[in-house]
Amino acid sequence: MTKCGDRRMQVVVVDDDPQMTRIFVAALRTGFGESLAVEAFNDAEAALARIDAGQVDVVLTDLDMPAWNGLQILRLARQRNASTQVIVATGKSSHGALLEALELGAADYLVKPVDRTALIEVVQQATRRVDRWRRALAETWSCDRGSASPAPSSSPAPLCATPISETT
Amino acid sequence: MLTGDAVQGGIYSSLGSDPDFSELVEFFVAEVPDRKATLEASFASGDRELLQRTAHQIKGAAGSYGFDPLTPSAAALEAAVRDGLPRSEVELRLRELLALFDRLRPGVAP
Repeated sequence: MTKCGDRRMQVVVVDDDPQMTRIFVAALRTGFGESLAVEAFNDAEAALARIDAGQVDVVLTDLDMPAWNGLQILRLARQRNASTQVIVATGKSSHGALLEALELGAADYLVKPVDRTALIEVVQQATRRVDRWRRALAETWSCDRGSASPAPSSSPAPLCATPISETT
Repeated sequence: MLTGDAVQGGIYSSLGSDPDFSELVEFFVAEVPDRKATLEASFASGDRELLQRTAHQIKGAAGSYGFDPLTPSAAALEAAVRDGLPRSEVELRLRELLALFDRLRPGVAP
């Protein structure tokens, strides 16, 4: 029987360079297997539409992209859902943008070239924080009541989700 | 620092022996001609924005694919374009990066 609200963590990866999204997705697959549902976007506008559609737990976005930049993605993700964890990836020379991203609520950051171990670690930490949100909400929302009312839009949609990893 | 035979030899990815990434590394190497063509065409046409953008992408991607020697060269090209260095200086850095591209090899170092 499917648990109420049970679903995999939803991860959105955004980078205008397909070579980067490819390596991100591969690294996440080796680190998390099928426990994450990963969607990759090379077009920031399409990524924004996906984030706006909701139920995104973690966003990994490049900061320096043409047309739309990672800060806009960060802002939308945080407005759409306060629990969404946004990780920004940036080059060593982009200190200003990185500081702004952290001030806007970025959960963590990665410096390109991206180390696979570091990537897995920051995403692991992000999923744990999402999981804690879910657990906290599960204490106030009972899934056993059948068709529970939907959670507020600013909250994680899935309540009672199965954690993808052990929390310490 | 690369010296002697290493300068003339192939550059292999540190991920080339990783079964989870070897195919991606091959794909990266297969796309080298496209990257080179973009660099050369943008330089020839004076499209500094595209040249800087492409160098920026290479700077981020090469090391992520285990081709670390390309990162400083791509960064130098990006900086040269961004800082408005003379065309001859930009070309020098471009040639250095293209030469490194020519040495990329898929698979594992023999």
